Amino acid sequence: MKKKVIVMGSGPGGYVSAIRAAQMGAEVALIEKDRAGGTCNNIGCIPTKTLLNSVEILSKIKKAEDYGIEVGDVNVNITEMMARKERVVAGLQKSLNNLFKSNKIRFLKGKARLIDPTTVEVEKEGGEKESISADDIIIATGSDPAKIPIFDFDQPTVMTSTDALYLKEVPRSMIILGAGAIGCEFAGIFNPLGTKITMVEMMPQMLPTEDRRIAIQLKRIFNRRGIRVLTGTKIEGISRYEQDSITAKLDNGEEITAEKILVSIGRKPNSSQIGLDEASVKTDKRGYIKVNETMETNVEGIYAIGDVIGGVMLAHVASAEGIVAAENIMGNESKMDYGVIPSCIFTSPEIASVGINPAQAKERNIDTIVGRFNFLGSSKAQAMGETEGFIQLVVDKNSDKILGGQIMGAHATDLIHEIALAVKAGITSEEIGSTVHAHPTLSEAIRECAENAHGRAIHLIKMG
Amino acid sequence: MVEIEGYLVLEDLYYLTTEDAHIWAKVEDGKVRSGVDDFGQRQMGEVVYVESPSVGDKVEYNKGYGTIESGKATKDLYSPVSGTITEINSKLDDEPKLVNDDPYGEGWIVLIEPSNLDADLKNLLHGDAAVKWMREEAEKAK
Repeated sequence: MKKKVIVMGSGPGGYVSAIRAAQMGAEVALIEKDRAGGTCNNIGCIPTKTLLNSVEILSKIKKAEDYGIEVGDVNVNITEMMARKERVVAGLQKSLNNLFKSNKIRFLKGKARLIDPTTVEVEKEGGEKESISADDIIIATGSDPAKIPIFDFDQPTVMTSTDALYLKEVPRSMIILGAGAIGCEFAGIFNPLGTKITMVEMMPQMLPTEDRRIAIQLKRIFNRRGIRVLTGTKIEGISRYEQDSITAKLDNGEEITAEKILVSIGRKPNSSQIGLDEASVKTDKRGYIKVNETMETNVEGIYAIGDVIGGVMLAHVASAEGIVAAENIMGNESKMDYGVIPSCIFTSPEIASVGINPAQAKERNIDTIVGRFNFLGSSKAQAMGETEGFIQLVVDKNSDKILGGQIMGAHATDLIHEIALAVKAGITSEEIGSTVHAHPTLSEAIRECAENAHGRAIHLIKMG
Repeated sequence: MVEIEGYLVLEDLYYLTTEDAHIWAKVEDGKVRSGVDDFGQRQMGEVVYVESPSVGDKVEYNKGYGTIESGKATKDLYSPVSGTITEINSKLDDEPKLVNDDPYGEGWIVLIEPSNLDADLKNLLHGDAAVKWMREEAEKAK
């Protein structure tokens, strides 16, 4: 008899685990309260990247003269830009539905709630209820933007990242609270569209979890583009809500006014209305479900993956966790390894990192050498006219193994995977340095970094 | 102030001239402010990043304490005196190019509380000796 598996939530964690379980012979029911693909596909990774690509074209056209191309007036059609985003999202939803069909997954629309450790009740649109039983259940209900009480989210001027994806007009001005990945990406979308942006971050640097050098250079680049970045600053309260403006008071006494405020201060787990108590599933104080390294909760047969368990809240982490959960359910022993997780920020220039950075090496008392190369010295970057940023490799001084790497620059999010593979496979900087990299490419800079770890980069003048 | 082949030399400063250091030092109320000299910054090209130490770090005469980077070069920063860092120029985070634009002024890099000032100063060039040395450097760079 087939093993029955229920997956609650069809984001990049849930749908991947559903497909893997089905591939391994399970009879799978996948329940989604909203749209197939979850936050990632509908209001996260995909729509933001779709919009970013529209504004990237705009930015390129604005620079066209630098490349010897004369263009006339350029107009932004925000309605069409948003419509394109919805087409991309809808297309990917359709592809997901086809994947579910081809894997014989039963896809149900409705709100899922555990009523005991082996039963999920689905409340469908219109209120009809259906109870489904299973041998194993995977909770992949994700997260929502965190809201803090000082803001009244019913005001039209106060936005979460989701609201910002459905704007009908480009705001003249915007305060972005939180200069993490989400805040920085939205600044990257609206700044080229002409929105005057002020970013407020309470930590001393932008992108608080990233390498300091990256954060410093990004701040410099943002400032140059006219984005005001206030680090080490808090919003104390809202002085005024008006129909078309909001005035916030900062902890330095200054008042700032803008047409909109985007609150991007992190995300909170969707764990409160899914019947965890009825099934006796434990969470931590902040509501994240506790799991072990096989992704199983304290209740046998109930697994949890993705944002709802906290930790590294990234789509590809959720997918990896989903595969681990599905494999364990289907009898394969599988454990989650968080050692090599690339993280990407789609600003312009892009930012990507994997493994440890120099500061983390210092904290852990690991003796390292940093091999670094600035894109200003890369011939391909010069040809592209995109010379901002750098690559650095963090190399173990004793073993010469690559322990991590950080990239800021064009195509950083694609380039990072050579370093990810190196960290995962225990490759040395000597080995990367002796691997021929094609010319002229941005990837050559990775080889230069590896060589530079031994003080012998070819395209770098060593002085002093 | 003297200009030699286009390179500025301030005669009241002290210069660390070992290797290609090109580091200046200025004694201010018993402390030592230091940065890269005009010749040094010119050789670098546009500075894109300054890797500074932290306040409280110990430095030693003629030993590296950080680096400055341009697109084409990385330069070690040597300390002109031994002592402890009491201040770093945080403006360089946002505007590293100050090292190019105003090497002896706003482009300063560290302020050091010296531990052996008199002895260290004897190893640095000053006044006419500094001018003569810069003339040689400028000649070599031609």
